[in-house]
Amino acid sequence: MSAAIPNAALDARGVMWLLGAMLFVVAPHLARMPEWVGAFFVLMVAWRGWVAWRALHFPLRWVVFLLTVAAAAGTFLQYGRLFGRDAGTTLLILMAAMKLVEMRTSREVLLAIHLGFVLVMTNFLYSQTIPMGIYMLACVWIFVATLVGYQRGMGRPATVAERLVPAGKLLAQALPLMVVLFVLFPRVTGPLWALPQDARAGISGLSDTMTPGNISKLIQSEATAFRVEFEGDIPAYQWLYFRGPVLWAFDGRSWRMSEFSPAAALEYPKSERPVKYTVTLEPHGKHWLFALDVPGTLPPGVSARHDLQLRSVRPVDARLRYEMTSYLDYRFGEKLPAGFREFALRFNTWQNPRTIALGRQWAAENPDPRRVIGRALQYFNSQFTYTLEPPLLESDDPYDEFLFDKKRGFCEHYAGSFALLMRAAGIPSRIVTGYQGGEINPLNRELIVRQADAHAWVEVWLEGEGWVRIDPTSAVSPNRIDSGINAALGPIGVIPSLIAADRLGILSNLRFAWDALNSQWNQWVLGYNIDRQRQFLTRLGIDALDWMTLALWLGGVSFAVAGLVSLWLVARDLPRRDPPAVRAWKRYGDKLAQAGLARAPHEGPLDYLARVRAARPDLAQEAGEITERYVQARYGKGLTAPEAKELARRVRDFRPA
Amino acid sequence: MLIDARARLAANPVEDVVSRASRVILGKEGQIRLALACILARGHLLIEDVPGVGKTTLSQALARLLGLDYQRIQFTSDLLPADIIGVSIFERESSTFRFHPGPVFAQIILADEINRASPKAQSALLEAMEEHQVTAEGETRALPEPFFVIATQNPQNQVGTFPLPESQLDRFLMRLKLGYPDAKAERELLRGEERRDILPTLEPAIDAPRLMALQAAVPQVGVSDALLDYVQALVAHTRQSPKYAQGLSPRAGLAVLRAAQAWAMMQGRTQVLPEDVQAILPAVVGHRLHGAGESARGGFDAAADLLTAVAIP
Repeated sequence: MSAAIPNAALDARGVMWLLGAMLFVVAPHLARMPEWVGAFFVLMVAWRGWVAWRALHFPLRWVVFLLTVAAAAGTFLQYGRLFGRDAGTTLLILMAAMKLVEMRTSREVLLAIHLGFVLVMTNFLYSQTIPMGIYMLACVWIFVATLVGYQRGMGRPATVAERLVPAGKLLAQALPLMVVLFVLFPRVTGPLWALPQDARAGISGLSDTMTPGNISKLIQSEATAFRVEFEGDIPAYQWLYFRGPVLWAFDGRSWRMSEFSPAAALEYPKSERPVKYTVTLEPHGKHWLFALDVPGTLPPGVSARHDLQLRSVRPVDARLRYEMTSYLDYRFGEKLPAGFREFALRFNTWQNPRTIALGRQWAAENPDPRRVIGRALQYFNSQFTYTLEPPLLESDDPYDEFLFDKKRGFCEHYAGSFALLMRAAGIPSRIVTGYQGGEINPLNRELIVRQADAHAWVEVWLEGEGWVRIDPTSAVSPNRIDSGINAALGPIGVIPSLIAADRLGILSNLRFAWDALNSQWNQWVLGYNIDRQRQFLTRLGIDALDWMTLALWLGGVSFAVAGLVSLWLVARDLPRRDPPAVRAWKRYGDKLAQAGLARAPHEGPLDYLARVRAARPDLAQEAGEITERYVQARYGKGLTAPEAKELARRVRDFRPA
Repeated sequence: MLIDARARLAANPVEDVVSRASRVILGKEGQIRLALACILARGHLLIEDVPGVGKTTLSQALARLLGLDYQRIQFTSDLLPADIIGVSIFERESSTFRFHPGPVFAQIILADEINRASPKAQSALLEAMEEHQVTAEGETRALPEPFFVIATQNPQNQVGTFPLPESQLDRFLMRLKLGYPDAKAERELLRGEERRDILPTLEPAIDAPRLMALQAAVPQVGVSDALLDYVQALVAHTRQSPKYAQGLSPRAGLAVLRAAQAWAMMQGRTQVLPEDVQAILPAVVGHRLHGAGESARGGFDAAADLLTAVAIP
């Protein structure tokens, strides 16, 4: 580790500051990246810090070169490519570390600082929450402070305050411009921060299959699925069934969405109790949308399948806002074509024999399908337990195992076994998945539906009634339906003892406030897309927005804002306006100057008065009055407002010429 | 009220001192006033002039008129600090050392021809001026109050002088030049009786307690922000202008302000005006300023330049 150039040129404290800033900005990435990336980065930064601190020689160039090649190779081996969100960010982080290691001149320090600004942006590819925004703002501040310290040049290194305070002022001055750019910058359709390939990766949600028994612990995710703003009152909890994928195909274990499902018009023989609402759907990467049973309108670009599942043409990659009308009191699907009927009754007779036998037995005992349904609900109600940690169902007959042995499960278990029992009893049935309930934020009257509110229920087809919703889970745990998942299990995602201590509801209010804030953030910051922009600008009275007009507006307003800030800065440094007495005194001097009695700049008021009196005895009285008042104002106890007016008046009326 | 205040000051004891002193030192009313302002501002005075223009007479007249006791020390090249401070002498009767105070234990000291003494003797007096106390043989003794030193020195270019270093010059609030009397005053001087004979007939116009009360009132004279602006502009000019080798110190700025307050009080004003600053400025900064460069103008000339160079804000 010895080379020719000693690093005396770079100030060690400036370098340390830069290294700290780099660690700060990369820190959120370290948890997301493979461990070796974080280790490599921290090691390189520590190495560079050691070199700077002990004023050691820089690493040899070929060592740096080999490390750089190794980092690039490692990235390629990890991801199989060097581009895309994850691979690209990893590469950028590794190369930033290498840049720090080889940094010798102040020009390279400048480059590293600007690399830091790019690293700030990469964080937004992963998270766009408010805390991340604040954290990244802090990062920008620190990097600007680094820049400030660096620009100081030679001499005593800047203190923390000498870096942070000017940097903070710079940021504050940039703030108006930032707002203008945000509001006016022409938008493209699509989300603000997303790379096309990676946007769908790792987003959880509903899937298009359901296999009860292969999950032993359902993780209660606090993540928001969507938010709903209702026009008017929010319907009662037991009506809040948000319909998602409808699963028809059954293979003895899993329920799947059917491939064939023609589109249908939304016409119902009976459609009453309409509710209007707006859904803000978080991106989930799939095609389906959610609506209360039964949807009455279709958002643009969305079609309805014959089982009332809403599908958009493009996958929901970005937060989507749509308006809906649904009818809570409805009847649909009274005519069931033979093909669908056969499909809704299909099951393998060689699997789950005891379940099938029970269904057939109930059908034989009760000719009326409604009685069969009642019998089944009664069966669930009497013997089963609702739990999110059910035993695994590992036999070839999972529904037999559940219904007759384990008897513990959650909505998937009940919906799946219920639907199978119905099919065995000759009643056409299918599984509907979606979300049920949610949480009402009392602060903004918004319904927050979380991933934990995901639910599965059953629809059975009855002669003369069409498809009827049956929720077997409600037979087991009525609370789950009436008050939501929190009532059935207690609040989720929060330490239970905290909840118990929170009698005044401070904690839950904080949570609601935070959620309301997030909702605004999503709608107005992250969701500020081309439509919102148009809507907002129209409200401001700016119409006809093609991108050319927008660009003109952007340029004009930016110029105006920058101009205003500069004007303010200039005006701040201008000498203050003289006090009234001084202005009067100057005017008095000007008048006398015209009469040939100019005051010398260093001449005191009394000396001036003496000179004026000697030269112009006719002015002695008035000059004395004026000088007396001026001296009182300037060097004495000051003048009251009327006295100051009197001085101004006397000067105005003073006629020496 | 601020302007024509002097008319109401006939009964002012300071005016009384000025008019009586003017009968002894003819034609030097301005210098007498400055010397009084210097005393009121609790500063020490340095008079620089050729011998025989009345330096000693002025200091003796002030001492008598102010009702203070007076000592004169003639500085010579062989003067020792003990000659100024005093010395302990063994007394046979009591078998103890007894301190015999030197001439410095008086209210007004005339230090004649201070630049003829060695720096050692000079510094003994200058320390007493600064501390208002002397330390002799391990014992600290306070000097009487008020304590006021009038030092005289011959112009620097005379033979056999030890010029006072700048740090010690800085301890004098003012430096005055008496100058030759004008023709009218000189005629009167030549015609009249011996000045020194008049001195014993002078009656005190004021006593020490009243003088100290007046001294205490000086810092109460009002100083407005505008006036401080002016003082700061003056000081800043000496620091920025290339015409001066060295700018005025903060202590000098403070001295200007104190002297101006004393001057304003003598004018019967409760507030300081720029004219007050201008009146005392040459005396206060003259010995602290030195011109730079070939055509260096020192002392009073530099102070006069300063006055005209700085506009009153």
